[in-house]
Amino acid sequence: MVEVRGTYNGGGNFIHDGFIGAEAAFEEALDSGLDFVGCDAGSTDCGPWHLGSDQGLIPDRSLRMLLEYLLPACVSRKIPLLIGSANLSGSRAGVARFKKMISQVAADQGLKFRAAYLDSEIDVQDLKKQVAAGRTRPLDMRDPLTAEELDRTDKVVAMMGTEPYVRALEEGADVIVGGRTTDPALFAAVPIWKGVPPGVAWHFAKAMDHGGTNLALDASAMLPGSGVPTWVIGIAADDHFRIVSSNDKAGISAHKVAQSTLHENASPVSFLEPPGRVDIDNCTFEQVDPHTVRVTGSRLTPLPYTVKLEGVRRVGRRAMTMCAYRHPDTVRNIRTLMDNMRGYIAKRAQAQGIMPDEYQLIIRNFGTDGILGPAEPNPGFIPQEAVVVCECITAEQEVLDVVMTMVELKLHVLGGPHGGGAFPHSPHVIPMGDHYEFNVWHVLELDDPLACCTIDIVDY
Amino acid sequence: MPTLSEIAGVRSKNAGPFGLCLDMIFKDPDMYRRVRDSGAVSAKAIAALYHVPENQCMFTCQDAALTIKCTIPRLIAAGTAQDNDMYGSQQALPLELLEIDLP
Repeated sequence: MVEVRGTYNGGGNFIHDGFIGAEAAFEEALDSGLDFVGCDAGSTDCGPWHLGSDQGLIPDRSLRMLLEYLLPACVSRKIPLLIGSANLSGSRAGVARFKKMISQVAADQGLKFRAAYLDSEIDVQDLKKQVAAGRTRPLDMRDPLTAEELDRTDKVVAMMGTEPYVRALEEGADVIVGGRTTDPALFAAVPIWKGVPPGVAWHFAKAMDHGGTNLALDASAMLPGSGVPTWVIGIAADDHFRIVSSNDKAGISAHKVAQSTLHENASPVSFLEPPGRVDIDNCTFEQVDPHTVRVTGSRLTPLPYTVKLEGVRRVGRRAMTMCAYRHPDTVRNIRTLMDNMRGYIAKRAQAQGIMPDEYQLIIRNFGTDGILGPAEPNPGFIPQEAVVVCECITAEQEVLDVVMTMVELKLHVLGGPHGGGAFPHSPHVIPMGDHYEFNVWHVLELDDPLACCTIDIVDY
Repeated sequence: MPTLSEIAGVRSKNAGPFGLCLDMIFKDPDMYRRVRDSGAVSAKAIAALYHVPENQCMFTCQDAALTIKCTIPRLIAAGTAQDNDMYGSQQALPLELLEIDLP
């Protein structure tokens, strides 16, 4: 009978202050005899810029503080630490940044351990061969991938499954830092390595992933002195898994565990992972006691092995300005005024030799239907203030400067006799660097699950 | 008639940059079953609220979680220039206001 016990880091996406004030609860979980700690550091939710620019979410100071706590806590107890999707996007540069930081912390603290760094950034030229061989398929109704689309693609990462992590564990790694990885793969790797059946391992992993954080928040809220941190531990076994709170002061409900598959997933009853489809529609979620939920019936239906590809293309340079209006006449007419401004800018820019197809002008009207657009249930509402955010995206910095200066000057006089915009910033025009879009959102079939990555072993 | 938000927790979130999921989470099993069986919440109703094609809406009821979930295509992909709600986290309101004729 195999049993694998694991937990996760203190906040979604490797939040830098996830442990502050929660160290005792986390260490209580560690000392309960864990087989691994998983930390998902990634997401595409923050947009395509992070992959395109290789910039993470967490500043050096915060990342170092987290690693200075997490590395010795796990290494001293000989509990494998798995970090996935390093630096948010899981790009090569992101893994390298984590490697540099971990190396510094290991040296400073004199820690002895074996680390494995997994790089799953995909060479765009190599990917063209896979496209030509018909080995990629679109997701979410995207168009099929083409060589032309890849020619304007800046960066692609593959979402690793469990196999690279299992290989690193076989190599004796104590700390594993992965590039882009499916969120559950991090939590399924150790159970699969130790012989837990894949259906149980993947469903366990999905529950432990971001859902685990939500479960813990929920469990903490149930404590008598609500807000006291607790930790959720998952136990994966031969024919079931259990989710338990790390102390008997907190509760876990069967419904909450059942809801954990809702998270960032199209269907609540199945989800796709590299080796196939995980089906949970016949699962039983049993409340064993107030702190324990037992789940049976998870299944994996094997499909041809695929990894998801995420890629971005650079669209251009971007800058923004924002201001607000209070006069009722201006607020009432804000949409018309902004539409008129669009025509005015087009004409004036053309007079300086800038054609309409050379730039995008984005005008956001917040206060009426900026968020819901056509789905706004109250489209005629006239607010007290109107906030406008204007942006330009274009290939040339000079074009950007010309268009944004025109926008800024127009916003100054938009209200006519009722005054110009209330600007909160100087300068009014704020550079935003490069703008990227996701353009690769496909799967790649692989004969060898390890073919999408390289593994770098380092002994400290 | 009560609105859905008076009966269930309703939340929205990205399902990747090209999809939006709408989760309706119930506390009371009986209320969950009544809403589920009423037919008031459906792919058709949600497609109409969000101006998306019904055949691109994935509608699922998960009894064990007391949850109804509908995943719809995003009209504007997350993170593109025109996108105003990158996480899709403020898109629940039209569904929250849906009136439910309970049997």
